[in-house]
Amino acid sequence: MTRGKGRKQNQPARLGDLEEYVLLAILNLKEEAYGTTIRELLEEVTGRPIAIGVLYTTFDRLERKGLIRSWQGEATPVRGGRAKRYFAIEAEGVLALEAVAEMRHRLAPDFALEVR
Amino acid sequence: MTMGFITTWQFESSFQKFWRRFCEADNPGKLDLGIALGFLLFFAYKAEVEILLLKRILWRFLLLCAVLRCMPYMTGGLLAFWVSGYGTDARRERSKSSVEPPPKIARWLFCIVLSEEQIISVVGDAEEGFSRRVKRYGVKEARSLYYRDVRSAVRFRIRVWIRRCFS
Repeated sequence: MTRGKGRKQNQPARLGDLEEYVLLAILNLKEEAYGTTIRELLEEVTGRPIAIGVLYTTFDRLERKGLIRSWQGEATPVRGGRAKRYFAIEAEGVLALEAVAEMRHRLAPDFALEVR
Repeated sequence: MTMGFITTWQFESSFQKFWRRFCEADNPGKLDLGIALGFLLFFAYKAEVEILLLKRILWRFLLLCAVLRCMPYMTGGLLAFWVSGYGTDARRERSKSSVEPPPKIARWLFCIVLSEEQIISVVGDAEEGFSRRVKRYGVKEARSLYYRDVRSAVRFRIRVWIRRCFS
């Protein structure tokens, strides 16, 4: 498992915007988290188109940081007989998301309470 | 004919594996640098380091490096495009599922740019996305979005190359 550079031990990984969204989408989709579903959910929620290269660069980066894992699934006729690559979040990914949520709460506690 | 085709495919496949291992074993960055320096020294020696000539040599050398680096992906991509992408089984499967196929040139570009394992997941996702977009936005819009995906895949591939070379 590759760790992010310049990261101390027992410290959660720092996340970019898209990385955070992707992790949340994977958490939300659970067993159905693969490229197309993640992309569709992100496009629907963020309201902006997301190119496939950008998405796969993010997957690649998250996998190198050890925040997600991936495996090949079954092939379907809709995909021209090609297999899906499923993603699942690792414990470190959950920790990183929790760190982001906590940081946001500390920055603006009242706002976070209002949103909830 | 069939046997010949299968033999060619197997030969190409093993050659491709060998070439990828050769390129990506231990440290691809060092290997590239080694090849680069080797060619540079050879050409410099042959040309006795003339400034005007050096420029032309450097261009040729860069082109050669690019071709060498892309070769495994190009051969693999072209064959994958021919065999799995447009084989009879794949065509039959596709005709069952979607009405409109994605643009051929874009598919071909995808197969050239991406490596074999990426073709499976990335192109699969792109095709699934295309068939969904056809239903939602229509063929024209779906095609333009598919081309946008190809452009982004090219950028993704370049980033991976750069990272591998400098890691």
